[in-house]
Amino acid sequence: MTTPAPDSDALLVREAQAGNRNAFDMLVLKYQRRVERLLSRSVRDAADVADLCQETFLAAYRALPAFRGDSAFYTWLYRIAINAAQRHRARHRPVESLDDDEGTFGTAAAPTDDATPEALLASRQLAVGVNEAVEALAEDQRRALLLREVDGLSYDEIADLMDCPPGTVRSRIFRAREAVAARLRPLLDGGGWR
Amino acid sequence: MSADDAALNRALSAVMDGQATPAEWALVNAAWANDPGLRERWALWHAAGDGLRSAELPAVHREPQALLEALHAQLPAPVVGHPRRRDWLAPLAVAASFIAVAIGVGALRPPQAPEAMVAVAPLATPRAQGLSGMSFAQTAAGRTLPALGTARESGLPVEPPPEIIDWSLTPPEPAASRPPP
Repeated sequence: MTTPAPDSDALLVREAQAGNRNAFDMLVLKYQRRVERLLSRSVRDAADVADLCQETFLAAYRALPAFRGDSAFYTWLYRIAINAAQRHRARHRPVESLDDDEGTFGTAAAPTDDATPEALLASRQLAVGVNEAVEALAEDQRRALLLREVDGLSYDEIADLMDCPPGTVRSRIFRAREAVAARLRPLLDGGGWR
Repeated sequence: MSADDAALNRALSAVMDGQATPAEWALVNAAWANDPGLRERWALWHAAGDGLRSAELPAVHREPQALLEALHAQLPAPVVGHPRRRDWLAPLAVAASFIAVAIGVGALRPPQAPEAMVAVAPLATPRAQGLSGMSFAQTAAGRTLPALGTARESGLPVEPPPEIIDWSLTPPEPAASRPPP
């Protein structure tokens, strides 16, 4: 019997609640992109999005002691971001519906301020770049990375599927990430990290 | 990449997946604040993961490090070297409190026999009375974060706990949004 995938945020949240700023920083860097994408759906101005993103993480930091873990940290953060966006809309004339029927960060809706053809193209090119980098990986690394990142399996589960020790899975995923990051870094340096 | 760097980055990968050993977490935690490359790698790896789960990978509006710097400027200073309350201390205090309360209740009962008084009297010491004065709430209050308490006292606006906010929008569906497993 293999161990199911643990909540990858649990350790970071616990440490952040204990006052570990490093752990909170890790959560910020992990979710910054998703929070900005969410905010971009209701706020046009890029500077406002950046400010609201900062406001969201500040509010999250202050409310962290009250976070009981009843929901995923990500869901909890999402609610804070939605509230920040709603307050922003209350202060400004609403330009667009905040309705987020899909309720996800990772699928169809395009960010409002990134809706120019150029930005949308760049956004898709980045995703294509990631997928090309993954396709270029050695088969065992590619499988391990996809089972982890896309299917969300634990190391034990992946080891079971790939018929190898969990330590080998760790190494394959680590090496795969290094290789993908090496291909992705120039793309992001060219405008990705604005 | 040196062996140390490889070990550090391998540990970072395990932390990212929520499967780090205590030693791996300690390694990453110790290096994080002084290693911009580690932070960049963390952001990059998560960006790649986001890209794998989506047909689009939008750029962020601000360099990740810039957001951290802006946040650090507004957050209370981290508590360095603050000794953590030992995990066993709170349950021990609660247990002692219950024992002391039980002793106190026993002492208030009308004496039934001289032997009972003899049995209770030696335990009703000032030390036991002091323990009985420690409530569970007082014990639990010791877990409040000093740094966060400072934030509230500094006059910064305090967000109400998100769990009780009444918002009408649908939260993300776990399966669709692929929250970290």
